Amino acid sequence: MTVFNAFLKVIRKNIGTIIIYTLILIIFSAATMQSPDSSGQYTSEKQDILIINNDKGSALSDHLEEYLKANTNAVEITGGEDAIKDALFYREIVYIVNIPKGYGSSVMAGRTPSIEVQTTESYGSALVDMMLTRYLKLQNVYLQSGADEHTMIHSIDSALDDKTNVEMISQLDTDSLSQATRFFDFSAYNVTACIVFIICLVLSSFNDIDVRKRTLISSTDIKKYHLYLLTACCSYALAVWAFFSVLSYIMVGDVILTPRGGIYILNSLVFSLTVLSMAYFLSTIIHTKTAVTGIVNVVALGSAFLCGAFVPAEFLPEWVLKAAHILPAYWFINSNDLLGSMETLSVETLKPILVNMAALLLFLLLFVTASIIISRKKQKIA
Amino acid sequence: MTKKIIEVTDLTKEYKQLKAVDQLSFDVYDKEILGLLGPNGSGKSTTINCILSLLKYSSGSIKIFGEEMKPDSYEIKRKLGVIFQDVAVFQELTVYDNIDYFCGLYISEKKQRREYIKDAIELTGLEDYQKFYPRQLSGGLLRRLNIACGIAHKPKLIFLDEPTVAVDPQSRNNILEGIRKLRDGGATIVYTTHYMEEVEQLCDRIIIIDKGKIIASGTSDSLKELAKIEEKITVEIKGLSDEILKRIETFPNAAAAEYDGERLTVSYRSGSANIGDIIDFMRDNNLRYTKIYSERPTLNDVFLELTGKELRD
Repeated sequence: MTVFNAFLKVIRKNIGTIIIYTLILIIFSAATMQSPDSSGQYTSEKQDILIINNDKGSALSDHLEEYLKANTNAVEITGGEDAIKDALFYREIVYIVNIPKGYGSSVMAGRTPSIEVQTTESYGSALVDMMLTRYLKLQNVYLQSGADEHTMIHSIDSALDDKTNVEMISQLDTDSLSQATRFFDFSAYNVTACIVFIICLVLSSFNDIDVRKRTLISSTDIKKYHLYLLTACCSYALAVWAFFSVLSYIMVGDVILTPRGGIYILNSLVFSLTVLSMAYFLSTIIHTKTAVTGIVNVVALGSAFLCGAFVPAEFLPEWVLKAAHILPAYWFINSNDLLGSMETLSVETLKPILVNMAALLLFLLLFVTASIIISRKKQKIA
Repeated sequence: MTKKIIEVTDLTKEYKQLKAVDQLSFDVYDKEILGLLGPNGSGKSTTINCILSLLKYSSGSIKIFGEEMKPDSYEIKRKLGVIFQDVAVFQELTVYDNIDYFCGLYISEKKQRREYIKDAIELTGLEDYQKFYPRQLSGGLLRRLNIACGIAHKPKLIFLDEPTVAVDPQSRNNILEGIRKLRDGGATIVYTTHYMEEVEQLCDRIIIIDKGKIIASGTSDSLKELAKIEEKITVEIKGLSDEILKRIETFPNAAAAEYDGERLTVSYRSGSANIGDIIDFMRDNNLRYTKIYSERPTLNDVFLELTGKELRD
């Protein structure tokens, strides 16, 4: 108990740091939760175009003009050809449709008169282009079938009125899930910082060469001593995990109390233990307290940036994500992101998450093995 | 017959080509203070680290309390206390908590530990600093804390490795007084230091080590007898000529005469009226001096005599 108590006392001395990291998480999470999730919401946007109908009075040309006006935002431009060119150049309009004189009669006569268009080569202009092409294809189909002008216009209207009803079958509360994902993604930084900083700091005190010598010559069994120290480290890591789990319930409780929330929590437990093993490994190679702060910044901040804790992974370059594979945080964040977008939970859909957890456990094994090898080498040198 | 607490026989520790400790044999007896003297790199710390099983040794044997000392000799370790040269404490724990932690490595019973901690605090004079953190303590107080951490569990055998390095005179006196009290309380002490005056004041027996070997051992007085000089007379005088110096060198019993422009030092092999002879010589030759005094040889002189170098080299 002596070792355990001393461990807790040293932690208590550094409680300020833990509070700072917790506050950072709460403030960041609260801030990001204010911005609504935009995924899964769709809006229709009308493009600004100019329609020049030089064949007014022709039923077919007038019908084309009406169709375009109904599906775009037709604007009027006065000032002649220069003004029109300027409007296109300055993106006031994205498309110009010029229906030539005699267009309607030419079509009905079986000719293929061309419609002159000018575009900005933008996404908006491509949309208008698709709209116009669709109309002209329908017109051509009905013309081939030998329909008269009236029948053709009626048939085109019917065809264009055909709409597909889309029923959203997803029961996902995307807002809450997105908030939960952001919370857990960001917690990768806080959990790493809290565990690595404190464990390295505390163990640097216990591993101080003179303190260690004093421990080695004491009557405490050295194996038991290491066991006490390991138990204390595990208890601390579990306490950090439990604390952030409670915090997650406060911040995103509606998700946490679902099976999906349970997987978020389980994922964070596996991650916390992996980070603990990493901290233990780092403590075998760091010996000064001043080096601890630097290492925490490199490890916690570095992995948080590279793995998508601050910036969503989809915005990161591919090479960064590939490089991030060597960091435990990547697998943790990837699981969170998958959980945030997964429609249903089943063994099949959870497979990638289980693979990620296995990867984390592999990291844990590697860190523990490396720590043991380094400790034994150090003992041999002594 | 006095009980042997430590028995070191033919201890050798080799580092590749270097023999840090070479066939060292000595005993430490119950309730004595043994001084280990030697310059840096002489093998003192290596010897102590081997005795404590902190270092594997190449050959020889070490027995403590009659039993072979091994890394897992926890029953022997229970009776050992070590105070290292460098302060070994937790910066995050208070004075009390530091002593409590190190005492707790030996004694699990809380009530007994509390009493022991109280005694250690009293012995080292840290009563007013119990709630202080190490960074708030002066160098001397830190050393006292270091000692308190090493002796709080009331060990029977205590190793002190240069515990007074860089300590103010008040703290040094306090530490030396504490060591005497520990011995009076029944502990056996192995004391390593550079400071000869401390060894002379404290130690019952002294072992001088150089290049991993014992070059002399005995009490302070018996060691001084090893020195070929018996008296050293110093005269503070200015403007002494080489011719006068040569005449002084021919004095009966004089072993050597040295002059540095301010101070004349004459070493005598024997004799009882040497200082009178010098005073007469000065008066007869009209030489004016400001001070004249006689000294017995120190352990440093012995060491110089035996090894050709100063203890603090």
